Amino acid sequence: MNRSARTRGLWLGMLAALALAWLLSLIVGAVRIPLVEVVNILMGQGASQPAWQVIILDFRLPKSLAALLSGSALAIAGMQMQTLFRNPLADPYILGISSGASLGAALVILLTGGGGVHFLAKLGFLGNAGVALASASGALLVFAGVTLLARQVHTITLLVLGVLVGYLVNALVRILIQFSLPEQVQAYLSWTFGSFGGVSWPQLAWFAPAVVLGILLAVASIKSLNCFLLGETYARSLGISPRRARWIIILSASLLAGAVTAFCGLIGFIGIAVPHLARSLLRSSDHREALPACAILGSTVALLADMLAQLPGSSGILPLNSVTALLGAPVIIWVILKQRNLRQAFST
Amino acid sequence: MSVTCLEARNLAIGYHSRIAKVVASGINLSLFSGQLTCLVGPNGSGKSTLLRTLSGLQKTLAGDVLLNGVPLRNLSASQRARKISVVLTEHFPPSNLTVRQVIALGRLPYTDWLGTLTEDDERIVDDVLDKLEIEALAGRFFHQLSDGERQKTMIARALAQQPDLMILDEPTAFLDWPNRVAVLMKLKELARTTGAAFLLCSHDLELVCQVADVLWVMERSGMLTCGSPRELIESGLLARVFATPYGEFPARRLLLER
Repeated sequence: MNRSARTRGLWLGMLAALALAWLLSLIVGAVRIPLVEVVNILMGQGASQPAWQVIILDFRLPKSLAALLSGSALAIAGMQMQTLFRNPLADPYILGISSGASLGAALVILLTGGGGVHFLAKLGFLGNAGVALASASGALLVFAGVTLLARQVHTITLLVLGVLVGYLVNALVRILIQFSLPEQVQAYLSWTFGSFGGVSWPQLAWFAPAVVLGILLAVASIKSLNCFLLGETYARSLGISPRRARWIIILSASLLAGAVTAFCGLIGFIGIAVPHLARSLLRSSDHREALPACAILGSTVALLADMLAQLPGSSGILPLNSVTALLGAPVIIWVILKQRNLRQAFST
Repeated sequence: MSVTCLEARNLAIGYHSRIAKVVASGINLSLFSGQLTCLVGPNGSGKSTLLRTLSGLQKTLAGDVLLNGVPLRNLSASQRARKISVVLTEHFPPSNLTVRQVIALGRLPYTDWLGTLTEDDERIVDDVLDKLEIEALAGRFFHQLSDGERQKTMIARALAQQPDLMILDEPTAFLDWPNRVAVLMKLKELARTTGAAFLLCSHDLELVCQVADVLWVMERSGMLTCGSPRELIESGLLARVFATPYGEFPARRLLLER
């Protein structure tokens, strides 16, 4: 069949792109390391230059894994939110989880330390971990509120509450900024730019299980997500309990978005753009296909964005958040224009 | 002769809030397998509430609904989904679903935790596509269909649930005359061929009086009367219930045409 041949080619293409992006992310950087050496190091056979081994194993490998996990997590959480809220512009941050994380990060960065030119750099790993811990706590706080409420209030109420929490937190952060030193503001700002670089092996030991658990919960919610495509009443008539299903979906999406924000900062656009890209490539809203596609495409996009952010051939670094937006916005525009019918495009 | 599929005893319907709001009470009724039952009544008489209650989507205020002799409340949600399917008036949000995928969602109560379709499921989907004569639409996107085609797809989806009872809320709304006739005749045919009980509500009195095996008339007071269309027309009930300030509903005219 034509369609199945096209679909098979598509899956192979997506997997190949992911593998390529991952390998490239290990090769490309301030120091270019040959592919053969990269493979040798990964196989545990050592490298011709000891420094390369350190660069790959201690920096690039955890960073690429962080990008891989974050991309999957954000894309999957975004798709869950778009289906649950029937809103094409919904993203993983819609429930206010990222606002909680922002507040946590802002409190640590803006209120602690005397401030220096390289405030975070001075604190080193401790500083990084402190910010991660604080933003994780902030995310967890909002997460607890949202999941408790999710059983009781209407879906739309939850959406409005999430937006309001966002405003509230932004107001608080602005007040904190008003009373902070320029260096601290700079440090907070670069946290909001997002980065996979701060994730080291010890942090990965927390980050990876959180994301894997979130993805497992997401896989468990595939059937109810498909039912929700018909609306809540039809979902109930198909034997789904909307309250419980919604709770699991929110639990999963919050865990995914919260973990990413805590460890990598704010990374926009992957969560909105990739689900549209996945559904439009597959020409299907069936979550049994769209969810794995989101995971693969999300990882690929995150790896590519991270590579572009490092400005190959220079030592400068672009804000990751800007790169994802620069990559993501054209994708959405392409999806809309290709489908001609705007309503159709946004409802995919 | 006819087998009872669903029975309600001394049923009260309405809404649970701080104070229960009773829409109708003391309802006794039976639905028979293989028959098409049509519920008619003025706007606001509680038809939709009754349909939702009988389909198990809304709790009863009092009394029992028995499906094949088993109280509906004793069934789990997934057990219920294998026995009762619904066609609603509400439109669901647009998505990239083909007609075939929409219909396949009707198989979900029978599938594993991931919703995997077995060969059996695929065959049943083929079968209902054939029964509704919409094989040609299978690959089309649902949201590109006409209202008539959508309604047939939603009936096919409900049929794929292989229900003992299918409940349809105004299946002829938004349809042109030929499609109304086609949908009602198809439902009657499906009742005969599948042996399931079909219950629908409609404002198409003329059509419904001609195709229904059993007519339920719900009055604004919440009073429910069941009978054959002929009985209810001859007793003058229909003419009275649907009377307007300009005169009675000319129900007897329908009899002459039969």
